[in-house]
Amino acid sequence: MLIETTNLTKQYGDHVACQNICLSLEEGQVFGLLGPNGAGKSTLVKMLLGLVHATSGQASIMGAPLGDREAISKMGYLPELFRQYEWLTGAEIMQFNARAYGIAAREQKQRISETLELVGLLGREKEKVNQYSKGMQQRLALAAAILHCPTLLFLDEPTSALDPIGRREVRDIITVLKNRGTTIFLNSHLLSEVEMTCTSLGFINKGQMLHNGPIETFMKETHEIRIEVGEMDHVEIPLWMEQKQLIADEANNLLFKVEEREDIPRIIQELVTAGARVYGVESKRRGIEEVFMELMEG
Amino acid sequence: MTHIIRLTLKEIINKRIFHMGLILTAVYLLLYGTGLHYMVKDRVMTGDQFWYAQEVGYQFLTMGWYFSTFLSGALAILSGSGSISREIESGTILTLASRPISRKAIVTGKFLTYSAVTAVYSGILVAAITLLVIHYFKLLVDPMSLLSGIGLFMLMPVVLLAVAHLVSAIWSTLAAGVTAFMLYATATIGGFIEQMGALMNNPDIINVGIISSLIMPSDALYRLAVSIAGGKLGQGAIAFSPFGATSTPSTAMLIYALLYVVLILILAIHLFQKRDL
Repeated sequence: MLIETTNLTKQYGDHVACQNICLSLEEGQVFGLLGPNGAGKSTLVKMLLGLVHATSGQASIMGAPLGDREAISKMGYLPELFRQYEWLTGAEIMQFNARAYGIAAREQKQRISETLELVGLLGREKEKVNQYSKGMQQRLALAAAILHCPTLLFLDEPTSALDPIGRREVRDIITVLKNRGTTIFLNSHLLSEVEMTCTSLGFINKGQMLHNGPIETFMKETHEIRIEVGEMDHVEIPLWMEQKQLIADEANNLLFKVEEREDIPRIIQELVTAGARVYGVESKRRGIEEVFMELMEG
Repeated sequence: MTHIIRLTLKEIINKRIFHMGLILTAVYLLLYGTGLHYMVKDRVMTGDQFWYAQEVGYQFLTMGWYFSTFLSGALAILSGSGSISREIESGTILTLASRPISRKAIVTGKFLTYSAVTAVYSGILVAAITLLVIHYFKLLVDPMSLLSGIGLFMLMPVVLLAVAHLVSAIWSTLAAGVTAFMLYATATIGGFIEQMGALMNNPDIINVGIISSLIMPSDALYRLAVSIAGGKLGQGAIAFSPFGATSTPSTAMLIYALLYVVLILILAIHLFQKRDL
C-alpha cells in the first residue's frame, strides 16, 4: 500500500477536524476525496504530508512514517492556497524546486522546460510571479509539484482558479501522470471532474470518512428511472418495489433507483401487470453528484 | 539549507523595504557627516585643542554608534518578525515545508541569512560612522580595538533577530514585532538605568540594568562593543559619555549573549517542528 492510515485523528481543542480515518491506497490509483467545505479534506492531506501533526492514530506513506524526508522527496503537493514567491520569476521558482528535489543540474533545464510546456507556461517563465494571473500561478504551482515526477501527487483543489479550458488541461495532465504510473490523491469540489478522472473515491464529512472504495462501487447503483404513469389509485405497487427501490413518487411520476439495468423492464412489467398505465419511461445514469448528496444528507 | 539561504537572500534583495532601508541609511550618514562637518568647521585642532577634539570626537563616535543601534535594531526586528510568520500568513510555507527540506533547515537557514545581512549592515554602518568621526576630528584610534568593537556591535542585532525569529516561528508577524520591540525597549531603558547607577555608584540600580540585560542582552552588547572599540585612547571619554559605558559589561555577558542566541534558535526549531501548518 502506498498510503495506509489507521484511526488517524486530528483535533484542534474541542474541534475534531479528522476522526478515525482509515484509508488504504494502492499504487497507480487516482483517488478522489470528496466532501463539503470544512469536512477535513485539506487537514487529511496536510497530515499525510507531515504539515499537520496527527493527534492520534497511525499512518504510513510508502512504508515510511508521516513526515519522512525520503518519502516526501517522492511526493508532490499542490496546495489549495497555491501562493508562490511573487518576487521570483517562474523559472526561478522551478529552479528552486528542482534543487530542493535534488534533480541533477544537467537535467534541470530540460525537465523545467518539459514541465512548463505540459502546464502551458513555456515562454512565460521569465516573468515575475506577481505578473501572472491567478490561473497562471496555479499552473506554475502544479508544475512545481510534478517537476520531479513524483510517485505520489497530492492535488488540493487543483482547478479552483482555472477557466473551463484550464480545467480540461489539468484533467489531461492528470491522465498523463496516471499513465506514467503516478498515484494521485485529488481533493476537489468539482464532482464531475472527480468522476472523469478518478479510479477510487472517498467521501468525508465532519471529519469522518463515510465511504471509500473503487469508483465502480459507487457507480454500481447509478441508474435512476422516472416512469410517467396514469391514475394510480387502484394500482398496488409490489412490496419489493416499495421497500427497496421506490425513492419518491411525484404527481404521476414514479422514481426508482435500480442497481442493475435489467431491473428496468422488470419494474415496468410488474407495474403494467398491477394495472398501471405507463406513458413514458426516462432512464438516467446517476452521477457522483447524486451519490455525494445522498451521503452528505445522511 | 543552502536552498533556504539562497532563497532568503533573493527575498531580501528583491524587497522594497531593503532598498528603502539602504536609502534611509545613506540619508542618515549624510546628515551625520554634514553635522560633523559644521561642528569642526573653522576649528583649530592643534596643540591643546587637539586633545580636546579627541574627547569630543569620542563623544560623537559613541553618539553615532548609539543611534546606529536603532537602525540596526529596526532592521533586525523587521527582518526577524516576519521571517517565518509571513510565510505562514501568505501560504508559501505549505509549498516550502512540503518539499524535502526539513523544518530545522527552514528555521536555521532563514536565521543565518537574516543574521548575516543585519550583522554586515550593522558593521558597515558603524564603520562608516567611525570613518566620518576619524576624518573630521582626526581621531586617534587603536585599529584592533576598533575592529573588535565593530565585531561585537555586529552581534547586537543578532540577539534581537533571534527573539523576533523565535516569536515569528510560533505567532504572527505583528506579535513577533511587538515582542521583539518591547524587549529591545526594555534593554535600552535598562541599559540607561545601569549607566545612571554607575555614575551614581549605586549597585542596586546597576543590578536593575544587569537583569534587563539578562532578559535581552542587546544594550549590554552595545556597551561592551563601544567600550572595547574605544581602546585605551577613548576609554576616558567613553566612560563619561551618556552613550558610552560607565558600567562596562563583563566578557561573561558576551558568552551569555552567544548562548542566548543559540538557545533561542534551538527553541525556535523545536517549536516550529511541533507547529501545525
